[in-house]
Amino acid sequence: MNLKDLILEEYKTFAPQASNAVSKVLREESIKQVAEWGIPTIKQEEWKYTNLKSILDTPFRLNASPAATSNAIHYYNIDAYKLVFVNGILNASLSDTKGIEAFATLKSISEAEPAILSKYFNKFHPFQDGLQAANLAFAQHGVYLHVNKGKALPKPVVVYFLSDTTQGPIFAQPRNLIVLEQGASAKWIESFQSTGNDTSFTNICSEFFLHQDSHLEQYKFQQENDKAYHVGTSQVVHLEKSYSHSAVLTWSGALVRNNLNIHLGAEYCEAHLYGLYLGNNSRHIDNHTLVDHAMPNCYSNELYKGILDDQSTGVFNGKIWVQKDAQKTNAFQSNKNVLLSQKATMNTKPQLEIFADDVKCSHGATVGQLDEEALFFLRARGIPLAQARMLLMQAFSDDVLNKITIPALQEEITATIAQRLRP
Amino acid sequence: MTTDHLSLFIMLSIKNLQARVEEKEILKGINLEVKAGEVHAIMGPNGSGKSTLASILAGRETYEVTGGSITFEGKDLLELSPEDRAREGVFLAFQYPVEIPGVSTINFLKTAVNAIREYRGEEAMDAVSFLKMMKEKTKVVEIDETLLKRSLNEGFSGGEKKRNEIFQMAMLEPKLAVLDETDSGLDIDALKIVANGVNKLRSKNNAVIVVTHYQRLLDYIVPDYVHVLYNGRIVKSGTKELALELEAKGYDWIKNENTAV
Repeated sequence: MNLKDLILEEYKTFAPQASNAVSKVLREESIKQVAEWGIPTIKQEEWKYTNLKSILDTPFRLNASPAATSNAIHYYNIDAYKLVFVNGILNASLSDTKGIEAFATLKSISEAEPAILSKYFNKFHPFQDGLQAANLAFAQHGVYLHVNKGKALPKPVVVYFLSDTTQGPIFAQPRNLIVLEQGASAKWIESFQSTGNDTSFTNICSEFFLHQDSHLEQYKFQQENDKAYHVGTSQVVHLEKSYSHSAVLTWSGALVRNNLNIHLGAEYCEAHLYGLYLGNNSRHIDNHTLVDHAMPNCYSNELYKGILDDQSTGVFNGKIWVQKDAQKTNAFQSNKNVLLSQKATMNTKPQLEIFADDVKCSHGATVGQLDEEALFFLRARGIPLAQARMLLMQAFSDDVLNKITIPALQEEITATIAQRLRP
Repeated sequence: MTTDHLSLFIMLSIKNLQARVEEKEILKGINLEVKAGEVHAIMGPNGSGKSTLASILAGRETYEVTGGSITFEGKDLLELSPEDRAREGVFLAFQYPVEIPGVSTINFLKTAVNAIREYRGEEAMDAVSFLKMMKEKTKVVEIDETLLKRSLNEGFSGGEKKRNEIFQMAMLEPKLAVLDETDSGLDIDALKIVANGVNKLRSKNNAVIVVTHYQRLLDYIVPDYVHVLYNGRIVKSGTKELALELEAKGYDWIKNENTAV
């Protein structure tokens, strides 16, 4: 059975016991879309460079009951609220969010009030495909975090997603909803890790809803093994004067697709988007971003950088939409890539669609090699070639690593990346 | 046996060096010997091969050596990688100092100093000693410490870039320093500071090759020998007076003399 049929089949068992938090109508509609659209193929424009075909016949288990415990997770050395998912299902005993209730509501999305979900859930869907529909149909396991008005979470929330394939291939579909009330602020970190030697496929969606003057920082660190497939969508809906800062870093996984969609739905919003991707072996890393300037006087700034070695492939598609009403928009985008090998590939596509006339927009994309003159210079100062290359790659990565605003985390991820760049 | 004994005093020996870039012959048989404690100036008109010679000494791979040899302290320099040449004690001050975004001078120098020490079988320098050494050397070339914490040469003035090259030389303490047109683009004040820095680093154990188009730098870094490079060969050698003669008569003097032959 292929993945689409597995999903349709699983839905029959799932539907009767699904939470009512998400409306049955929405679920039914979504599963029909899965049946109609199937899993995305390269014939679809948004999936032109990313081919999921090779894993569609994997005998995945859906909603697999997680392994009893796991010490396979590497926890970051920072003081944080901790949430742990194993195979897409929240593991309460591994999680620790003590004290968060003074600042926020935190529960499973299946326990959220329907009124809340109808207000915030699935409000922005610029691109729809069979995988997003599947995630929606099965929306059950995930975190609903609602930060109270004027409250700043004193610690970041780190969500660890472990793919445990020790008992066979798994397919996981977490769905998170994060709402920041007026003037609230939060830092949200998603870490993807894996254990076991079989194929895993994570199809995740996290939605963020930012009320007026709220402030979000969200990070995504992909560090699964070479058997891990990942398609993730993060969406940020902005209301007036809200601020978001996103950084998406990918340095492992077999195939990784990160969608980041930002909707600037009110005036004076600000969004920063950063990405770093390091490809080696036959890794495939795809970043699709959208900044939707729907209203006037908003600012967005985007910087994605990639280093591709061996036979790895990178994809960057950066859309900026400046809608008719979005006068006085400032939107900037930059994508820089370094290819280290003849066989590495980078597909980069900035896509600006501007329908307002009084705007400032710029974009640039480069694909090149490490600077030969800089390498010679460093060698002429006594630094061996391999180390000189590493220095240049680290400097290249630092532009994004420096955007991790939690010092201990920045240090740890920087060290991990340095280790990864070591010859 | 006698030659072996003599060669102990010779730091650098270039014999019949020929090189080309792509199909173009640039060096057509260079001979040069440099002993410890000496300063040699290599002068010549544009396109004569001065910078090619400097680059080949440092190991730049865009040039192909087609004949001859370079021996540095008894070792075949041409066999060594650029990093090993540096670690043996050869230093090139770049004509066009490189800008490297995201890599500060301090950052790469720490790596470089320790790479050199490791090669010599010495222990890595700790952070405190490194900073102390750095402070001392900044004084030699009168360079602002804050510059050294910034991305290498990014947004530096011409003078700051050249001073930074000499600062690096001070930190790495080479046996042989090759200054490739270090005077180009400098006003007289910057020139004096750079020259002063070089002079402070001179000793009986090290040697300097100054590659320059103009005589003016040699007023401040006084050479023991002056060689004139023209059309890929050293066509005249002499003492510092030769530089003055060149300044007075111009390079046409050399050109005419050599086309006449």
